[in-house]
Amino acid sequence: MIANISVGPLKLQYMGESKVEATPIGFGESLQATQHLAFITGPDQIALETAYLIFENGDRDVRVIETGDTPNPYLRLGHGGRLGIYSLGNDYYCEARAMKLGDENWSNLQNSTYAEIESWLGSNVNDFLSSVGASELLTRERLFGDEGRRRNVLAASFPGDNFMAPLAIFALTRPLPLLKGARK
Amino acid sequence: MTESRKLNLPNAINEGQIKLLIFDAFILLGEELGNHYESKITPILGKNWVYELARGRGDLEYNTTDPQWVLVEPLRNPTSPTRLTLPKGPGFYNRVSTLAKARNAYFHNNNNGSIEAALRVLELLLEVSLAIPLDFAGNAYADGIRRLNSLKQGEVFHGGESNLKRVVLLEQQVAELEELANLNKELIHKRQVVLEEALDDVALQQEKVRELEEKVGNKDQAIAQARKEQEAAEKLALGLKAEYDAKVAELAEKEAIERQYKELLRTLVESKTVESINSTNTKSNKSDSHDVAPGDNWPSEKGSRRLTLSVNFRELYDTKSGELLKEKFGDAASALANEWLEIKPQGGRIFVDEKGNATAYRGEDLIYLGKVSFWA
Repeated sequence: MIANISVGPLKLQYMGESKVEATPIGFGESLQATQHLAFITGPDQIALETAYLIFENGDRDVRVIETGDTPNPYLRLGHGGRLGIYSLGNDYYCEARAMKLGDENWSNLQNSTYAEIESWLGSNVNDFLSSVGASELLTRERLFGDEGRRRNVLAASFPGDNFMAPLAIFALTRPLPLLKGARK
Repeated sequence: MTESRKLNLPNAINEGQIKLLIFDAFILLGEELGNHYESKITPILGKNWVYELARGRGDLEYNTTDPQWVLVEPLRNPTSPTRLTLPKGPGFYNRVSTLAKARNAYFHNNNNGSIEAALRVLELLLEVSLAIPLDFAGNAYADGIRRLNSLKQGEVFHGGESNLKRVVLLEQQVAELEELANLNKELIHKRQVVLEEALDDVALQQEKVRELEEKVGNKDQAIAQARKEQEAAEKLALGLKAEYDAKVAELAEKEAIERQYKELLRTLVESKTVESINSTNTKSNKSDSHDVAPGDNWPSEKGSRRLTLSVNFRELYDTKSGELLKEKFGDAASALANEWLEIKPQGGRIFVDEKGNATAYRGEDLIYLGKVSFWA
């Protein structure tokens, strides 16, 4: 398993795993979880303590657990922008919606295009995803035949025991677009 | 207003001390002018006037003692009730406008911190205070002007203890704001989840109405029922959105204050403000750790180098650069992190002085953690 990767100008360092009690997205009470920890650092004094949480009930998400002295607009990631991870047969997938800035520099998750993500990363997105063991970036329709309202949202899949892929996709779609000044 | 709110006057020409003076001068203006508005407007419009004003403007977060608000509210809104309590004429509002710009520059660290720039701001603050009038603030600004002029003439002042206390207080305020933000995170997240579910429900109801319209046209009773359900879902979602927005706005305001305080703290560190205060203090500066055990109160000043003790990683990293100390110093840095977490299990900010003495706040106390051997 890769321990350190570059996500454009950001550095993502794997920091090991531990047990923790936390609340899954959309769940009222806290549960036991295994957290895979990563440290995302980079320009602008970005220093985000990040975790890929795998809960005892099977729920999974990636979130920032400590923002430290990281300045705005990244502080928003301390209480928003969690990346939901969902099962897909034997694998898992997540969407590639991105944090974009709006009025007053307040950011939230918005749909993003392949070209946008590539421009933030500064290199081929699918090569990057492949390097961390994830699939190509595809629409939900192409990835798993979704016919609903979100069928055009981009997503990528990865094996359940690959914890670097979701952490890398989190860095790619949360702090990186904010660093690059992505706007709604 | 009490004597304790007097401005902390600089005892040397130092960028950090001067910025701290101006920062506090604006905070004093916010408090004094906000109280002035309250005392003049409440008897006429009632105690809910601020709330009504905020609601009318669609802005849920009005804070009458915010230095920015007290300036821009009358400046940008000719019909604002605050104008009734202020002098008339373009001369006064020109000064207010200049002050609002100066406040932005100081609070967002876009100012060179020179003594001349600070004097201009204090003179403007004095003029505005005398015109309103705000007597306490006026006297404080006059004291500030006198002190800056004396420093310019080379006078030396001792006794900067109040300035040191102010720096410590500022750090504590930042820590408290961080804690408050953390408490709000979970609450906001829960509201976001409920809101997103409600918005999904609205979308489903809309879809239901659309399908029914396609199947049976516009006259069927089922359509009326579906529309009713759609309206109820929309109403619920709107209410939840208002609650969510209010909470997010509250947090955003706290984060804005936190950011401003952190910017000021950075200036204080970069301009070696604490060192500058100490250099003119007569007080002896003990910084020998021989008689102090880890966990004891630290009898001296804290160091200017900042580290973060991460509970999650059980590691130390440079607060400014994010560089993990274990990358540079190996296992010794990880061992130190684990030792210090025994003393301060909640982690957080660590201060290291030039001799390698590491300290941290536990509550209001500055405690000694140990020596950073690889730096000393």
